[in-house]
Amino acid sequence: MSSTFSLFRKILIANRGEIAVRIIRACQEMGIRTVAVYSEADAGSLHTTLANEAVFIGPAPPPESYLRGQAIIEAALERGCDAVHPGYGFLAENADFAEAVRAAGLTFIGPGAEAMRIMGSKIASRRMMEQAGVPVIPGYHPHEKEPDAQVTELLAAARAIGCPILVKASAGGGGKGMRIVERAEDLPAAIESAQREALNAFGDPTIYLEKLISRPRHVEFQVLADHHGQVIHLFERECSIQRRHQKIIEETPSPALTPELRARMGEAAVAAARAVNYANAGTVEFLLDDEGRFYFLEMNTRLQVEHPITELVTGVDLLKAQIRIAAGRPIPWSQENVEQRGHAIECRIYAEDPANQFLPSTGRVLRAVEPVGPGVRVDAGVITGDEISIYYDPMIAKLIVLGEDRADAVRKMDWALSQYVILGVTTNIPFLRAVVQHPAFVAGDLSTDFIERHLANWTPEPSPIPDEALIAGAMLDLSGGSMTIPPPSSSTNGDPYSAWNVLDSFRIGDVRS
Amino acid sequence: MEFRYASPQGEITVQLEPSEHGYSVVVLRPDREPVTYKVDLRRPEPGRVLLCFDDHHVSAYVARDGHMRYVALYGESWRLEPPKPRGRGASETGGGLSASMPGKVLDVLVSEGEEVKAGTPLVLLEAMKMELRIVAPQDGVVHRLRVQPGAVVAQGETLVELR
Repeated sequence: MSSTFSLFRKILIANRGEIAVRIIRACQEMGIRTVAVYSEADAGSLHTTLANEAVFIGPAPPPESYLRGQAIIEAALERGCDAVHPGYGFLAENADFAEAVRAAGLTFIGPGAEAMRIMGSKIASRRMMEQAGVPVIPGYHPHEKEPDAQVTELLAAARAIGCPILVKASAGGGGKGMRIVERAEDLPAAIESAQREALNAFGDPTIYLEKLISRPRHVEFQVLADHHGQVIHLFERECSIQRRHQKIIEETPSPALTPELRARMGEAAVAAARAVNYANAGTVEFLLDDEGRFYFLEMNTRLQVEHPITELVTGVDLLKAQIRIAAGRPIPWSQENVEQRGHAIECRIYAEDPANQFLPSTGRVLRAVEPVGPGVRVDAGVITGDEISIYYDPMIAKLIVLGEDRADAVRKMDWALSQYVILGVTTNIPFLRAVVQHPAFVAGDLSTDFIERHLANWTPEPSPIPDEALIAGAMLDLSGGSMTIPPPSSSTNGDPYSAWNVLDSFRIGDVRS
Repeated sequence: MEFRYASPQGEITVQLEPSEHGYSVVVLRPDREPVTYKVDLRRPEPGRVLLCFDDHHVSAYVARDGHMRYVALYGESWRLEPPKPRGRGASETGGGLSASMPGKVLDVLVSEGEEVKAGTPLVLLEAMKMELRIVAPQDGVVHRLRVQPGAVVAQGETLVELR
C-alpha cells in the first residue's frame, strides 16, 4: 500500500467543512489532485481554498447544493475527475448517488450500493444480522393482525424477553405509543393503552416489543474491508457521551471492554460487514449493557466523524486506506498485526450557547487559535475570519488527543480545551471541560444517559470577569482596535476599528515584542 | 484615559495612565474598592497581548467587532461591552450597527448619505419569526448600507455604518 502509483488522478470531494479539508489533505499527501464543491454560503471557505479547483454548485440550503447529486457528478466529469469521495452526511449514505457515480464511470469511494441499502433499513439489517449470528436487541413483532389476539401473542413473547421491556408502535415515531414496562403484571394494560394510542396517532394499532437495555454504553467498531475478501476491524470507539442523541465526546479504547469482550465484539463487527459483502471503511455500532452483553444497533456505511481517535491509537490513516481500497488495493495488514496503543479522546467543538439551551450561535469567528502540542490534533473546517452560517451543522472543529493512558488523555484534553481560543462566537468548550472534569467521566463510568444523569442542568458558571481581562480589553480600546488582526475580506471595509483606518500614533507600553 | 464596561454588578471603569514602565491602571468596580496595577504591555503578535505585572504576566487574545470586545485568558473567554451609549462623539461610538440575531433583512429604511436622528429606524429584520427594528443609537449620517432587502444575515453582521 505504500506506492501511490496508479491510484487516482483527481478526486472530487462532495462535502464541505472539516471533513472536506481532511479528505483534501489526505489527497495532497498522496499526490492526488482535488476538486472542491461549494454553495453560496461557503464561497472562499477553507475547503475551497485548499483544493486545486473549486466548483460552485448552488445556493446555501443543502437540497439546492450539497445534495444535488447529478450536478456534483457533472462537475466531476467536467473537471476530469476519476473518483468521488462523499465524506459523511449529505450524500454519503445515499445508495442511489453511489450507483449514479459508478454509472457515470467514476469510482465512488465507499461501499457498494447494496450494502448501503441493507444497512440503511432497520428491518432488513436486523434480519441480516440475525442470520449472520450477530446479536440484536431481543424483540418481537406479532404475526396476528387482530388487536386482542396480538395481546395474547405479545404477552407470551414478553415472558421470553423479560422485563424491563419497551412497548412500541410499529408505525411509530416521536415516542407516540411507547411505554416502558418494569414489571410483568403491568404489561397487559401497557399493551392495550399503547394500541389505542397507536391507532389514534397512526391509524394502525400494531405493537411490537423490544428489550429495554438500561444504562447502555454506545460502543462501535471500525471495520475495513477490501475488494479481495479481507475484512478486519480496527478496534472500538466508545461514544457514550451524547447530548440529545448527538455524540459529543468519543474515546478509544473503551474503559468497559476486556480483551476477551473486545475480541468477541470485533468478530461480530467483521461478521456484520461480511454478511453484506462490505468493501471500504464502515462502522458497526453496538449497545453494551452493564453485564457485558452487546447488541447490534446499526452499521454506518461511511467514514465517521470520530474516525481520528482510531487513527491515533492504531496508526492507520483511514482516509488513505479508503482511497487505496477504492482503487482496488488489498489491505496490507492482517487482524493480528493491527494493535491499539495509548488512549485517544475526541471532543466536538460546536458553535452553540450552553447558557442558551445549546442553541446554535452564528457569527464571524474573529479569532481562532488552535492548541498545539504533543499528541494534540485539530481537524477544523473553520478558521479565523470564517462565518458560522445558519445553514449547516454548527461544528467548528474536532479536538483530538492521544495520551499514554486514559488518565493522561483526560488531563491532556482538559488542557487542550483550555488552550483553544475562539473569539466572536459562543462555543460549547466550557461544557466539554465540565464533562471531562466530572468525577464519573474521570472514573470511566459512562453510559448514554451520562449528560442527563450528571449534567442535565449544567449552565456556565457566571464567574465575575477578572481584572486582567478588563485591563486587556481597555488596552484594546486604547489602541483603537489596532492590536487585533485585521478582519479578513468583506468585514475589513469600513470597519471603524480596523487597523487600516486607525492612525496608530499613541505610545503603548514597550512594543519591542 | 478611561474606559467603561457593563457588568451584571454595574458599570466598571478602567483608568489607564502612561507611566515610567508602561501603564498605571486603576480598576473601579461598583462592588469593590478601587485596585491599582502597574502594567507593562507587550504585543507578541497581532491580536495577542502580554500583560506584564510586577510578579507575573498574563497572555490574552483580544478581538473586537462593533461594540463588542472579546478577551480570552486563563482558558476562558469574556465579552466586554460598553455601557449604553450616552451621546459620545461619533469617532468613539460610531460605526457598524449589527444584527442582534441571525435573520433576513425585510427592508432597508434609509439611504446612504442620509442624516438620521437617534432612534430613527434603519433596517427591518425578521429573525426566528420576530420582527426587529434596528434603530440609530445616536444622530449621524448613514455612511454605508451593508445589506439589501432579502439578504440573510448572521448574528453580529454589520447592517449599516453610521458616522
